[in-house]
Amino acid sequence: MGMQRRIRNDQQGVTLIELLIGAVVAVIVIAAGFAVLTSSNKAVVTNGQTVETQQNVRMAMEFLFRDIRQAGFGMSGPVGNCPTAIVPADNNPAGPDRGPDRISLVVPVGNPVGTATDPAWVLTTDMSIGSGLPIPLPSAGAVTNMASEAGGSLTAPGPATISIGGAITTTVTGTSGANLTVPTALSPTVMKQNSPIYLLQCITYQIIPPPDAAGLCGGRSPCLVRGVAGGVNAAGVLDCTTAASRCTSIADEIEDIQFAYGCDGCVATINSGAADGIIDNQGGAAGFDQADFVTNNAWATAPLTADKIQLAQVTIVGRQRSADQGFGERNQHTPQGMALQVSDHLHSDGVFVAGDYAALTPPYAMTRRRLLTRTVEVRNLRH
Amino acid sequence: MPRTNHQSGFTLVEGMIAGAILSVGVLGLAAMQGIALSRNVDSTELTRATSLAAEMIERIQYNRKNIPHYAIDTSNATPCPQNATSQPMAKGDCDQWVALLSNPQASGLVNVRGVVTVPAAPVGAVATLLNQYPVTVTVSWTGASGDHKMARPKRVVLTTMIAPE
Repeated sequence: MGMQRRIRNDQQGVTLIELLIGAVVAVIVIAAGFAVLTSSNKAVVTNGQTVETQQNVRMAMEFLFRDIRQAGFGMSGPVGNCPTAIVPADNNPAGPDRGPDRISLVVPVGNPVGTATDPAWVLTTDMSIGSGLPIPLPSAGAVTNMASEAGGSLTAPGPATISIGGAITTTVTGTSGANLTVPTALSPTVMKQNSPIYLLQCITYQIIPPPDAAGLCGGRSPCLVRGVAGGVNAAGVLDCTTAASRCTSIADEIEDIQFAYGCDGCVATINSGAADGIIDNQGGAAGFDQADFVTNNAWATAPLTADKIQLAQVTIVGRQRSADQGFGERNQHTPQGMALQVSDHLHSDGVFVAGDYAALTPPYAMTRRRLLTRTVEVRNLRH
Repeated sequence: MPRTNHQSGFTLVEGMIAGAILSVGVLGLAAMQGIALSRNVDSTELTRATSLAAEMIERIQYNRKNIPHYAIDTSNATPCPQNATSQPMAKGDCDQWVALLSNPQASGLVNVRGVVTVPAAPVGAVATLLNQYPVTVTVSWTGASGDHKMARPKRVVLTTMIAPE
């Protein structure tokens, strides 16, 4: 008993001062922990959005670059709604743009390998095209598959255009089982077994702005869609929101695409309006310069027509999905202080339509942007 | 028992020292966020540089009958030595490419240098038959520095074979 009492007498608690100091230190440590947590969370979100923006822009550029490069693909007449290999559609040919441009291109789609559900589109035997014989595909399933890619039918509303091995372009006048019927008036050419058969389509690239009434972006507008437009809109431009369109979103958060075209044989006074392998001088300084890329034209008045386009300059702007989220403990950061001038489109005049700049959600200045530009040679329009 | 008399906990000073050491570790964690963000900047730069190099190859592809005139080095006093009268396309392509490289909106690259290497004549064992020109486009720049990241030289090299028909 005596020993216990002695121990109890020597015990000491913490003083109030010590307790308070301890509490303050603990609070500081916890606050520091939270600061790290919030900053790391914000960094992860920002990082993710930036990566996504870059990915979207790169993806959009890759699609456009490849399609423009092979636009035309041996077409011999209008394909679907495309009278020419490239159908430029400037946002406002009469002056500075107030929204993104569009473009329609004739590009091939093929299925040379095939799967069990999507049989290959190839010739089953060596044959002489133009002999009047129908073109044999491996199975009726391959013809059905091609028809569904063409929107349901290879003969309606108009005959589908096909390219056999990239060498012969013709139209489909009818189908019967595994065979495609083509006109006989073709120069006879022997094509080998397994030559791929391509379906040529008129593909439109278009940015769908919010609010995306047609639901093409799957809730992530704006987005860049690619596909066969059903027809033209009220302004007479091919449009993916018209009836019977088959367009799908290929990249989210693409805000702007702008095109400028270099043309050869488009000025009557240069080489008598004939192509000479040099991009035409569009009235600026002598020699070939940036001003010779036409940004603002309807391409409807000869000799300035779309079939003479040789180079296409593509500029794509993507933005992050939402403004950076903060906890309000720091000053607000404005990632995009100034409106971009992309080709003949000044964003402060209207990003999607005239005058929408101030009311954009999220606010223009609060989102990061990535801009990528590249010049492409239209190889199938070479002279 | 005497042993119980010698019991003692941590002093406040010891606790504070431990806290300081811990905070150094936590600050290290925070710095890692900066590294992750700066890698994003790297990837933007890489995409832009690749695009600029691809642009030049496309331009040469269009003017493929005049490949030998595309020897370009933007670090030279005269980056575009082409004759504007006899080679308007090559001269124009070069001038525009130089402008693009130095344009902060299009390239945004620091200390950027573009070099195009082309042979004066077709090369290869059957040079006269195939008419092939190897074309190399190099874009080099100084990568942006950031948290725990030195500004290092970076380079993108695109090599292709172009054969005018």
